[in-house]
Amino acid sequence: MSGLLSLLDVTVRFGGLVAVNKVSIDVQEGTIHSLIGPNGAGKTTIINSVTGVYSPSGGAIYFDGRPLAGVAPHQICRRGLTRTFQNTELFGEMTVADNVRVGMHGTAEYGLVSAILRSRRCRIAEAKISERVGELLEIVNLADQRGTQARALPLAKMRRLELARGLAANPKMLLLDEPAAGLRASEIEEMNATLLMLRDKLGIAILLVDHVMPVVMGVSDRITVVNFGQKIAEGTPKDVQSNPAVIAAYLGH
Amino acid sequence: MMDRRMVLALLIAGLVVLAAGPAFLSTHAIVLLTLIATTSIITSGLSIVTGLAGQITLAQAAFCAFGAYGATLMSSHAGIPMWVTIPVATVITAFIGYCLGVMSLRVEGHYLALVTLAFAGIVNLGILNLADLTGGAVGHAVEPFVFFGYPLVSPTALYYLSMVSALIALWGVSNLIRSRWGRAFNALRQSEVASMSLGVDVRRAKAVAFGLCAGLAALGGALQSLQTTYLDPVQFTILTGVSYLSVMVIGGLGRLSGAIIGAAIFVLMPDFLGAFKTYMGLIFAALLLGIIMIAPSGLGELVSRHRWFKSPEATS
Repeated sequence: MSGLLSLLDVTVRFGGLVAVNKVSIDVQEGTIHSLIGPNGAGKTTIINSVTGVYSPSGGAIYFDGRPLAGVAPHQICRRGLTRTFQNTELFGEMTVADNVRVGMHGTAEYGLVSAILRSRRCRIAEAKISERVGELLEIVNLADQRGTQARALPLAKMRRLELARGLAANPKMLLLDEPAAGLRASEIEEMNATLLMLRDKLGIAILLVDHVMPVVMGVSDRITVVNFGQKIAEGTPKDVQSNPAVIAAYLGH
Repeated sequence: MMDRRMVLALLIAGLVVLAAGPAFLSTHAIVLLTLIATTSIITSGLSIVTGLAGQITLAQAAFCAFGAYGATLMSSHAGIPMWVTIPVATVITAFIGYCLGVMSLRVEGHYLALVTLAFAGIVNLGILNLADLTGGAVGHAVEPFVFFGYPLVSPTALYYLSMVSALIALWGVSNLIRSRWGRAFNALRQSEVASMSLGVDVRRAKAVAFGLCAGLAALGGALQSLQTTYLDPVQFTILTGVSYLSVMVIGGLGRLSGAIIGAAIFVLMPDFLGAFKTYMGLIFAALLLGIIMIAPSGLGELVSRHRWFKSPEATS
């Protein structure tokens, strides 16, 4: 249990179906750790049990040294673990900037009465928030889209906006659920560069779930492979690529 | 997009007209404008809870009853002046709304609508059956509003009282909409799961929205009772609650201007129809259906290009 995020023998059962069976993963601080596996392997189930959407039937999950069992999703975010979604869950009717501002809801330092009276405290906090929005949009290269409605963005920009929105919550770790799915080659390169920048410049750890191998192999420090709910391999990209069990899982025997 | 100075100039001009209103308007017009002001306080609560947070409530009239009865009963039984009891009733009702929110927000959509419907029904039955306290079906006289020895009872006095209260309330609501709370309400309507994962306590936010909505209803209801001078349970039925929501659909749920337009329709339509009042249900239903078909975002969308809910940096 030395990592920033540790899963210890996590098991998730849905009735008689064992979706995840005794999986242990350790994500170290400041690293990019990928979780891969064929469709239905249990990747998204693992993510959902980490973020509190499901509660595991067995095992334990620790984040930053504290157990995550029974912690509500919004509390998990406030502890420094933020996620993105497989099919993007942006607030489509809000502007790009307001999407990012929602990410700062939990860290904004003013209360309800302050908000209603638009007190000095509220205005100062909002000015800070707007400034931070600019910085975050700069990071994901969306600074020129501040006022665009989120639903009007093309997919690649939506993905980057989700990233910026997640960063707004000031996380120690990001959980990215297929951030590169459906992206074109040039967009994938851009995504890789962004992920590496988050790790190297901001020191954010990333748990990445994806099928897109150019991303997984291009950015990961470590890779965990799951199949049918079991962990079948773990190691550096090189180790995993040459692992016979992994090749069998992807290509069949 | 109008520039800031233009908006400010229009705003000041509007305020001057409102302030000078009683000098050139008929008493009838003043009475109607007063009613629109108090009703817009009530409907602005719905722009928060239904328009922004996306929770349907049919209990708005019941919360008006809490404000109106609460203020008058506290005043007549304990002898506290109305200018104290109205804010107190508002705060207490907001708390009741918050509690109802906490209890009922485990259910969503149609089920939530039914819970609020049941709540509205219970409140109305309570008013009818607690006759010793509320006067039951006979009703109860409203205590006059006396401010340090100056009674505010004339239409003009009530006009200023209601107008100032409405402007302050709407100003507060528009501030709230632009704050982190407004954004959280807006976000949870669009994706609860994303809001949660970004640190928004969704259940608490919904309960807060309910509390604010109830508080605004209570304030509007209590101020309105000063004008009607008599509390009749018929004013606070489920049907009234449904009407508030319907006029909001016509006015536009998604923006604060919709609350004002909705309030104007709520007040002016019966007055405008006059002798044809019998057909009001029919005309109202036709208007509602027409709006849903032609302008689903409400009249606010058609009438004004100025988007209250849009942040100033919006481009499209």
